[in-house]
Amino acid sequence: MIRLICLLVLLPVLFACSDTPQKALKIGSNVWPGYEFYYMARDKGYLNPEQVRLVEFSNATDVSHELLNGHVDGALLTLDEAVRLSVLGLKLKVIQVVDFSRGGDVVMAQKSVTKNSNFKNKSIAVEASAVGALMLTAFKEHFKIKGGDLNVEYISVDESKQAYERGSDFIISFEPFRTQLLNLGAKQVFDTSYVPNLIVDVLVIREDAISHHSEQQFKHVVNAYFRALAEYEASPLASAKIFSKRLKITPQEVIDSYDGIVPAKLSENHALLQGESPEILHSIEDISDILISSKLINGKVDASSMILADYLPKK
Amino acid sequence: MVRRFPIVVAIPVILLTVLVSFSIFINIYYSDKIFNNRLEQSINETSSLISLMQQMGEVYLAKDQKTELVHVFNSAVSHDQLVNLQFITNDGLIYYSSLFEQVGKEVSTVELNKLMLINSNQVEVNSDKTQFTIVAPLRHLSGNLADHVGYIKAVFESRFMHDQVALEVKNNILKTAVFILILMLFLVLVLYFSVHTPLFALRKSFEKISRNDFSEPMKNSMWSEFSALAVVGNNTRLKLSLANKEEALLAKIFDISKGIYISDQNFNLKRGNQTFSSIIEQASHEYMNRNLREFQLLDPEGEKALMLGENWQMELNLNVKGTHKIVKSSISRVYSASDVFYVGVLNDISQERNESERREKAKDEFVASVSHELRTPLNGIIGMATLLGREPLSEKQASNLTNILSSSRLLLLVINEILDFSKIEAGKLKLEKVTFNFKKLYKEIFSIFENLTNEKGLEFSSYIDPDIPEELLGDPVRLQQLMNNFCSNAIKFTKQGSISISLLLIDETPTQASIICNVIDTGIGIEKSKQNRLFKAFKQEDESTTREYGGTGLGLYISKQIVEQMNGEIIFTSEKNKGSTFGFSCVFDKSKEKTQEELIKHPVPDRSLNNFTILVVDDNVINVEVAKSLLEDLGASVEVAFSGQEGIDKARQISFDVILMDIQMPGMDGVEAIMKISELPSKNNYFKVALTANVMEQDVKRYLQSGFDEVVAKPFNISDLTEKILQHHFSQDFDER
Repeated sequence: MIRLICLLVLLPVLFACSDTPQKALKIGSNVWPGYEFYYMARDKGYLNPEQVRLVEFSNATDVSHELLNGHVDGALLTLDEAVRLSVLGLKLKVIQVVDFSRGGDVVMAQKSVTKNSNFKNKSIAVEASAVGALMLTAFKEHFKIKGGDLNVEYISVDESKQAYERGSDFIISFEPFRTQLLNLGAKQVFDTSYVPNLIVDVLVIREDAISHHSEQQFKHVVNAYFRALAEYEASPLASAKIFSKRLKITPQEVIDSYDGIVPAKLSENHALLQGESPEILHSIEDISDILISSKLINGKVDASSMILADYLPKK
Repeated sequence: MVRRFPIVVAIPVILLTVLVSFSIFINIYYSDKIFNNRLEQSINETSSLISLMQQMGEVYLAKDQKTELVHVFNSAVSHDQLVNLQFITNDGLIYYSSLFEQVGKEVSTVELNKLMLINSNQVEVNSDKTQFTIVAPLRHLSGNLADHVGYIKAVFESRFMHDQVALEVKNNILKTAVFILILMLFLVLVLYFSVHTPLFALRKSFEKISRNDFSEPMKNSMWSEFSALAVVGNNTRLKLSLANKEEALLAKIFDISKGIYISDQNFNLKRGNQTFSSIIEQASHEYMNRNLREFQLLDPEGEKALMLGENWQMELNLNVKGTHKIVKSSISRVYSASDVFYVGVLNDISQERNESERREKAKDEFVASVSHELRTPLNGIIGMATLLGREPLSEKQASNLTNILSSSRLLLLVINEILDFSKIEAGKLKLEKVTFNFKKLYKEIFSIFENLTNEKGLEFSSYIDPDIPEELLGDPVRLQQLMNNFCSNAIKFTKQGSISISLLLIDETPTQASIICNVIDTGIGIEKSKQNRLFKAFKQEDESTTREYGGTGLGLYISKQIVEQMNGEIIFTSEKNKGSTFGFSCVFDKSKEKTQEELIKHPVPDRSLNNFTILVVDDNVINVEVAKSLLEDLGASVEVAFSGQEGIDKARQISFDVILMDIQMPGMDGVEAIMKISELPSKNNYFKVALTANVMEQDVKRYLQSGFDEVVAKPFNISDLTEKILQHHFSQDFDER
């Protein structure tokens, strides 16, 4: 009898032996006003660093690179980047839509243009990225510019200022470089408010990370975002002061930047990710088409397999 | 109560506890070292990473490829333990930081000065070991190598490592504990089979022994210790078994219903069984070593006999704590190899004795009661018949009345015989030994029988040896009864011929006289084959005899008993159809005094009771009427009373000469009434006669002691009664004169 009790008591202990300390879920990101809500959540203690660790990179390329290499479990990316990485064979899940670019991504010009302007032999500086390609395609579609009219110069987005100064006719850029260009006298001739849902920032995770982390960790990071967002909406200026430190712009500029970058609310997330035919599905397919035609990717992606709405808070 | 534990579990549990505690202690003791090792290892690893970045940084800076430099830094950002990675230029500007908000800021002068003093990589571990910092200076490759162009400062956390070590320690402890537990379970099994099983078998055997069951041998074990124990145990078991058998035998002896005890040669008690204890009402520790005499179990005489080697048997009357006990005791001397001791057996017979006495008493009471109840109505019958006989009757009536009287007398005889018989059966037939005139007694008897014989037309002759002494000692009543029996039989069974009686003195000494008495008839005689049953109770020659001649068949039986009581012999010879001879021979003691009767015998001048005033007290109306009529016929003046109280009242009013008092009456009985009458202040010399059907010997004695002058049995003979009254009256007169 005593022996039996001993065994019963010690059995759970035996199983517990194989446990290792839980690893923090690592989410990589570059600096982007849309992503600041996560950092705010971290600073305010809403995000437990033992559960979720935010890893900062100075550019999106490194973020993609680290995600691809598996140094981080998830990342804050543009949807097109997620599509591109998927086509490369990385299995990703979009678990949250972070923000929409509704004027956040812009085409800046030396002088104003109209649809009737002559675009022939004009130069356009663009980052050799998916966003670049999307913006270029949207810009060309908007102004009905023919295929070979524009001379494309490839730059890194942080070189926007230099490109403008060099005399590039159009520069595809985004904040905070947009503000810098505006200050230099550049004209904003096109932005993503013309093409809603084209440039979307999302939180993606590697599919293999799901098995290495608990569901709670994913829910934790998503929750933290919405909590920070709610706090921002309640008192934008106070939050903006926090953001300004990292973004190195004034709080007012932070608030202004959210004119073009609209944080995705919980209800919008539900609309985009849930249901029989989520809206994001069409965006993925559109983006996929553009990237194929720009020869940035060479295959279609299974859009539906990229969507996972399980970690969103319930309606 | 002390809590006890099985060794099979207790030892492994103690070992388990000790080993697990030890394991915990060791693990905790070494956990710090493990952590330090890990920390060192981690520092080494990260140091080499930083060194790599340092070298690459130097190259990129020399080539002014700052984008590549940042890319290198970015590649390190996702490092698990990295807290912060900074690149600080030699003028204090944070050019790169993994925390973006630090980019573009400047470090304090103090810190910059500190950085400037660093020549090669420096590692700093903070005091609580949660973090360590590596600072790597970047040399100026394109200029003076001694100059620094910037510093890589990386902060790594070690908390995770700490947790990991803690978890490892925990896991280690648990794994060790589980291992130890399994080991202990194994030990339990080993102990169970090697210690518990043989011990349990031994225990079972011992348990059986404790119940006096010696059948289970102790099992041998493969372990020498248990094997040795089993061998010793088996020897003990066999010895105990043997001892137990002896003990059982002894217990059997000592458990019998008789009290048994053993004493040493000085008669000091050494042992006794339970019955012995209960007879003397002493517990074994109370009587131990005390002398037999203290318990009245031995007297000096017995002691002497025992010391001579004889057995001593005795019926002891013990007084045990106020209770009287009758105990049969028997003591024997017993010799053992080295000792002499005594074994006694006591048998408490008090209860049986009491029981038999009680039964005897009940029987006596029954006989007395029956006798009384028969005599009372018989008294009425005979009395009334006698009265009737005094009336003028026709011849036929007179004949019928004679038959009534003879039948009644026969019935009275039967009753008397049955009473005698019950006395004999109870061993209570006691003969008196008084001085009486032998020849005179027999002359009177003969005269009666002579009349009877003549009435039947038989010849009668008698002879009394003149040498027979006048005064002898004996029981005249019983002698008369003997003669009655013999003569009645002779008359009864003889139809013609003669009956002759002779008394012969056959031997004489100065103190004794041997006399032989024969009654010879010429009656029907008795067949040889049936002679031997004659003297048995309720037997006659055969059943036909009973039918023809009547009788109880007790007469000869009683006669034989009487003769035997007198230490005499019955004489009997008979021939069928020729006749029989019945008789006895007996030795009488001679008496040295004269017969009392003769001394006070006075001539009774007249048998009438004229001038006598007589009180008759009886609750039975018929009996009162009989007595009254008979006495009045004799000229007495008779008063009657129907209860004791009434008798007392009458005695108070009238001065009587004689009081005839019945004994058994409802309310006040005769004894009480006569005592009260004696206390009356008036004339006190009545002749007080108890007229009763209670004629048992002890009753008669009691009546005489309580104040009666005479006891007359019912049914009474009026002439006997008259005789007694007159005798008393004249002796009184004589005394007065």
